[in-house]
Amino acid sequence: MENSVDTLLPTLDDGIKCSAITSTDGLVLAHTGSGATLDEDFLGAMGAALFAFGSKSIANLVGGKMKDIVVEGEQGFVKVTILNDKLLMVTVAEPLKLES
Amino acid sequence: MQQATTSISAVQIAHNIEKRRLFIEKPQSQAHVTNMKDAPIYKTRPAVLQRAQNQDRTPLLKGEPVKEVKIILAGNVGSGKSTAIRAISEIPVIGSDAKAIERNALHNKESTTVSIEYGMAYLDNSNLHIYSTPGQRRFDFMADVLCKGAHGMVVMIDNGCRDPLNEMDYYLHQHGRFLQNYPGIIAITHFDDNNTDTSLLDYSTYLLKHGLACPVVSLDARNTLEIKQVLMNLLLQIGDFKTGKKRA
Repeated sequence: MENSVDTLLPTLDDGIKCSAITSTDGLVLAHTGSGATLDEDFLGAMGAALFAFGSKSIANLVGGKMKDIVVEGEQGFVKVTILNDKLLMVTVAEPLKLES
Repeated sequence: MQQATTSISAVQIAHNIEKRRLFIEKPQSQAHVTNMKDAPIYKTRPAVLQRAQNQDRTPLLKGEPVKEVKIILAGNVGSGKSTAIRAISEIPVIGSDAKAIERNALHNKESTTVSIEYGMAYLDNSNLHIYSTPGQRRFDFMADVLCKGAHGMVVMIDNGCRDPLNEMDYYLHQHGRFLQNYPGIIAITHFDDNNTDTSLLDYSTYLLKHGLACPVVSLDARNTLEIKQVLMNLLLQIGDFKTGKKRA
């Protein structure tokens, strides 16, 4: 079961630092790439909190359901994708490098 | 067991106890209490109670501006933070619940708070902006965000959980710096369905042993009036803290 959930996660070589599949209340079911620098529970909790704020903002300000959240920083991105009404995927990625 | 910060001096503890005794009085002796489990250690003074019950919105002094106060509700899972904020808030509570996945670990709750909950109430010429933090420990980072600019804190502990003293210790450790600098109250909930033998006296003794003289009160999170009493006590501490005046 755990292996099949793992296959949903993106591979780490495409500039992706870490990713996790988490429930909407922040319980991590599968994760890749976290280690000494990043705790997977923290990743899951962050994802769930972002999801909660995002879905509330969309529901109250725009209407309808939220599709995904992208938070952009100087050193990378955090993306929260909604898989179904109980599961989220949180991905932390490096900044885009444009090839010249 | 984690140790709450013990760097506070004995003189400061004595001062804190003295300061807090002004609002909440301790019974003269514990001897007359037959059942320690439901013995309230601190009693709210009648004058404070009266101010908590006062529904009148005209300020006591004419032209006195309405104060804006930010209060944080912290505490363990299932201690009734969301219930309390829903019971007291005069506006619809803004918040985000998620369906609880680990229901066994979450007291069989249907849903659990994941980010924040916000409610507002008017009490004693003050607008109370009440923020509730999530109880699950993985969301501890939310509490750090919320504590910025707060004036006071209510730490709610579920007396029916496995080790309530340890839970309290965890929150005092987490918010130790805040509670040493700002007013706080420990509110113990679930006294009617508790499985433990922990009495209010145990909490109080434990707090004093670790150098924090926060008042300990029992609270029914569903009862609006009881929450108002707790908040009124906190408000008076905040007022004293801000002005530096001693109240009679």
